[in-house]
Amino acid sequence: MYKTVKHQLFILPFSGGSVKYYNKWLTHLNPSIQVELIEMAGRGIRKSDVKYNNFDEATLDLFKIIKNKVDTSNFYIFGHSLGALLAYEISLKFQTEQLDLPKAVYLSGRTSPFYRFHENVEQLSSNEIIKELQSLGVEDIDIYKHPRAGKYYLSLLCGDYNLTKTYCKQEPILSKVNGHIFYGITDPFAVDINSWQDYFENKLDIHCFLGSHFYINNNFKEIIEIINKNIVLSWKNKIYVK
Amino acid sequence: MNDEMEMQIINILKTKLDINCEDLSKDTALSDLNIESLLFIEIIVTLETEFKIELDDSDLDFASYETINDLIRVVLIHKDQSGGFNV
Repeated sequence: MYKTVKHQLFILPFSGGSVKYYNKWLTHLNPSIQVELIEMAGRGIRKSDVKYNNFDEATLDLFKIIKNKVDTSNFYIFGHSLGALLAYEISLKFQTEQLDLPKAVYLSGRTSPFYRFHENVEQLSSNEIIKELQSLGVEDIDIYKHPRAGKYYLSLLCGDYNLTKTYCKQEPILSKVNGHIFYGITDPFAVDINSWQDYFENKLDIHCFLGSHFYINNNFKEIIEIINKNIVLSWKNKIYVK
Repeated sequence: MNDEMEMQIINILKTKLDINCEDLSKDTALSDLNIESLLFIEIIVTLETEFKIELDDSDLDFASYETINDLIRVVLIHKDQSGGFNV
């Protein structure tokens, strides 16, 4: 008699985005993987929740949500860009709290915490931000230019950039979790991607794709295939039960 | 009056999405309708014009809506706040 092993994959949003972006992933992920899309406070269905004052608040809030939802030892966390930093820090919280660790973290579209970006975002005009988004390959660029909604969506994005500005990593803390890094080869936020190795004990798996920051739009099926193989095949998704 | 408004909203969605009314109900999930965020904003602008309301910025967040009923509810709230219905 065999029992199917359950896996949980927690997915976090990226800057300016709702985690609902990942709805299109659901039909491609292996059925044994229970997906939990975790929204940040102040966004989407959590729009009434008070927004975070700083990155640490975001980490703590999302860590608590994930901790309360974990009901298997086989859980994993995925994050792109801002989500990658959050996924890393949340996995460290499990480590420092001496809880069961995620089996792996999947960090996409962002180099290690050593590198900081958008430090001077308040000095950029809307046009400059939109121009940058365009170069990064953002999917719905026109929403940021829309006369009715553009200002609002830019404020969401800049809010998340400001959140990242409050993130301060003095010295790397070595994560004991298995790490997988995904990035677009021309992504300016993925410079020195190998620097992530300074933050992990185990050797990282690093996957490079064609594209810039939003390489993820055109390569999500390939990313999912890697995740499926990593989660399902490495755990041989059936165990024998007497 | 609410039923009329609901029908009006669903008709607007039908026109914008180019689908039949029979395929839409209050409980239809917006994620099932393949609405991109830009099209959603166009729907919002049409609703604001039709019902002579102005939604809050936070109501422009497509991700905060699950079903058509969520959209109906937001329009009704703002219509009530604007002082009632046009007869």
